[in-house]
Amino acid sequence: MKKIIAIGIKDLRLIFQDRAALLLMLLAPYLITLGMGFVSGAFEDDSGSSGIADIPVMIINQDGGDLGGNLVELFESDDLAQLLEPVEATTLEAGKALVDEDELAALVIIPADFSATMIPDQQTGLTAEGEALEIYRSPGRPISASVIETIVNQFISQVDAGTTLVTVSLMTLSESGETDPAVFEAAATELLVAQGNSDPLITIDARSGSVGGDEVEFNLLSILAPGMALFFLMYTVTLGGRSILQERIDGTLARMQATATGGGQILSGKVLGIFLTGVAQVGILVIGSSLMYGIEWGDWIGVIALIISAALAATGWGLVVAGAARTTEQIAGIGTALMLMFGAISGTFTQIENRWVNALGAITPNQWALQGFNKLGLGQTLADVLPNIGALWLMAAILFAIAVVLFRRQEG
Amino acid sequence: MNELILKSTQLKKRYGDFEAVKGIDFEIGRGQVFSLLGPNGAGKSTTISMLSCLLKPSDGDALIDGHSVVNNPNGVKSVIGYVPQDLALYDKLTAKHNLKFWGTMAGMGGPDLTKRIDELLERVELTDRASERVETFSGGMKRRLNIAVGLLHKPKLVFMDEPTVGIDPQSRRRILDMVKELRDEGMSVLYTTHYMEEAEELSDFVGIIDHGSMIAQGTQAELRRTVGEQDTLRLHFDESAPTAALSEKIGQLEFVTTATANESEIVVTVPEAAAVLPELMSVTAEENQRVRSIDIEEPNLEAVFLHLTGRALRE
Ligand SMILES: Nc1ncnc2c1ncn2[C@@H]1O[C@H](COP(=O)(O)OP(=O)(O)OP(=O)(O)O)[C@@H](O)[C@H]1O
Ligand SMILES: [Mg+2]
Repeated sequence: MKKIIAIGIKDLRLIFQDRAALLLMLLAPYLITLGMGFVSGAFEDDSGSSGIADIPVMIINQDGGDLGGNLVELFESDDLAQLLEPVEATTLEAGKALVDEDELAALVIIPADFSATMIPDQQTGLTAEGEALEIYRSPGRPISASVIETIVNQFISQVDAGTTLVTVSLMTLSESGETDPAVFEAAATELLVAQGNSDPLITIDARSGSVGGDEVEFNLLSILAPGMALFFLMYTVTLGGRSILQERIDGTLARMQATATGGGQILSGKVLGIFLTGVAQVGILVIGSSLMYGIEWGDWIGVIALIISAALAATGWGLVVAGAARTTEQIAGIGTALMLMFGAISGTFTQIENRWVNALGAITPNQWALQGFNKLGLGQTLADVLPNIGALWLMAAILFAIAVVLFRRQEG
Repeated sequence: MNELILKSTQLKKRYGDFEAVKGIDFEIGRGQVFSLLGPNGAGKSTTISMLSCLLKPSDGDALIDGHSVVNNPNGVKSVIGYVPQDLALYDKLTAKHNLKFWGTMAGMGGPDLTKRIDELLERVELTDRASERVETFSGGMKRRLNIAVGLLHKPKLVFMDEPTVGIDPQSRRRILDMVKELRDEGMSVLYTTHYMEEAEELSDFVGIIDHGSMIAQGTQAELRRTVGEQDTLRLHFDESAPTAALSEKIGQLEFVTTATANESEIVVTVPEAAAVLPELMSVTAEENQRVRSIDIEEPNLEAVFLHLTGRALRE
């Protein structure tokens, strides 16, 4: 164990001696975040502060069920009053035109069968097939649009979580021999109502609400910064993966093997080094941005847990790349490609409105972590980001297993 | 306890069809310096890699302090020090951090390690540069640090693979002196080189390796004898010295083959100069004659290599 830690600390120390690496790890994310902030108007908001407020949004609710109405209510709620500026709903065409003219940050279109697709049929336990909820985004306001999307996504995931609970409950009821549809209906309604009352979205107001008359603090950079930190985290882990091969070339790996240190110990040490570097990088970016720009990252325990989990999953990718490549040049190439691709499909730069791309985003640590940071930034806590953390750990476990196989193959 | 620190039997390494090391046998006694002398590509590093358990032998085995290289690599690794031919250091770390890291890898720690690091820094004359990054060091300084790393855990047997390649004369001197100091302290050393001067200066035993085979081994004197030549000693006296009488007396000594007077000079041929020199000196002292200077011309290892292979050691 002492040796594993020694290798990890040594690698951390080496990275922090490498000026070029530091530049990319720590400075670039800041500069790009600031740059994007300027481009997207983060600093010239009409509220006069660097926060964002009064995002113009239109919601067209075509839903026959209750859920659409609930979402509209949420958008119009006092909790979000200062963050959002809902516009009277008109027609779909008019709404889209307003978005195109950049009058609106986004248009949220709730399809006719929204409730039906979200809430399972009480008899069959299945949800109906139907159109997905659509967010028509203004390209000129990527950040504001992201805020809208975050709110909608949260709403949907809360409903999802709720209906799963309901479905499971009803199945249990059915298994217990209950056949009367009336009993089911009553139970379902009760459960859904109970679910609705369990303040799923109240958490949003913790950040955006005007507590004690304070100005709304929704710092635009707080949406950009996590994305950038995660984007460059991928750079860091491939750099770490590269060091595994570099040690082989430099003969330091052989020298380690010539001491009575097992291959497993050496690899664990390298993994620890990559992981520690990743944690240090994102940690420094988080602390730095919150000190320098007043970005509020939210619940600290959640933030720390998320940083650790994101670094772990990213380390997994770094190892897989190192295991698959034969030369350091290959690692650098694959690493850069992966970093850019992950940035793109995880929606770090712009949201890509393509179902497949979005689904693919799930293989990136970026997407899960980004979503988690957004949740925390909007005032949710550790408990709310547990699914994200779980996904990242699962990803890490799978990637570590693949990496071990790849390294075995390399040795053989 | 066995008096051999190393015993290699038929150690062999094949790369595909190519046999880099063709089954070599040799032994190193405790506290001895054994030089493996051979040209580029002879198989020196391959042999060291097998003995350090970095490469699995294709065949054969070696016992190091009683541990089998094949069956008990961890036992072997705990008693050996490995100084690789190519520098294996972290350029971006300071000398001290390097030593600390490698010490930890060797299972050391705490005040013991700190003390040992200071000791070694002193020894390789890097104390005043200890807190500087290795990348700022000269080639010779890096070489010395590279050796220090291999000595951290006070190994019983240290492998030094061409530790003086491409460095300044002072660093080279320091390294050669250090090897002798280590031997005097009881450490055993396996030293590879293609400089015959180094092998001559350092070794108790020399193995000559070429194309993966040990073509000759033994003490330096034994090897020279294979060439069939004798050492030539030229003793210079004052003009007035009775060299004729003196040479007669010398000629009667047990180890001397011939002794010829030539004006103020006596030319003596002996199988091994070093062995008879003390006796020669005591004879001249008995006769109250002062030797002004002595030249020793001996068949060197270069000649041995030439004799055995028909090629020069270095092209
Ligand atoms: N991994 C390998 N695959 C194939 N051949 C190899 C490999 N490693 C070494 N060899 C060959 O084995 C032979 C011995 O190499 P080795 O490095 O042991 O020589 P050496 O005596 O240390 O030479 P030098 O003085 O140049 O360091 C060489 O012909 C070399 O090309
Ligand atoms: Mg070599």
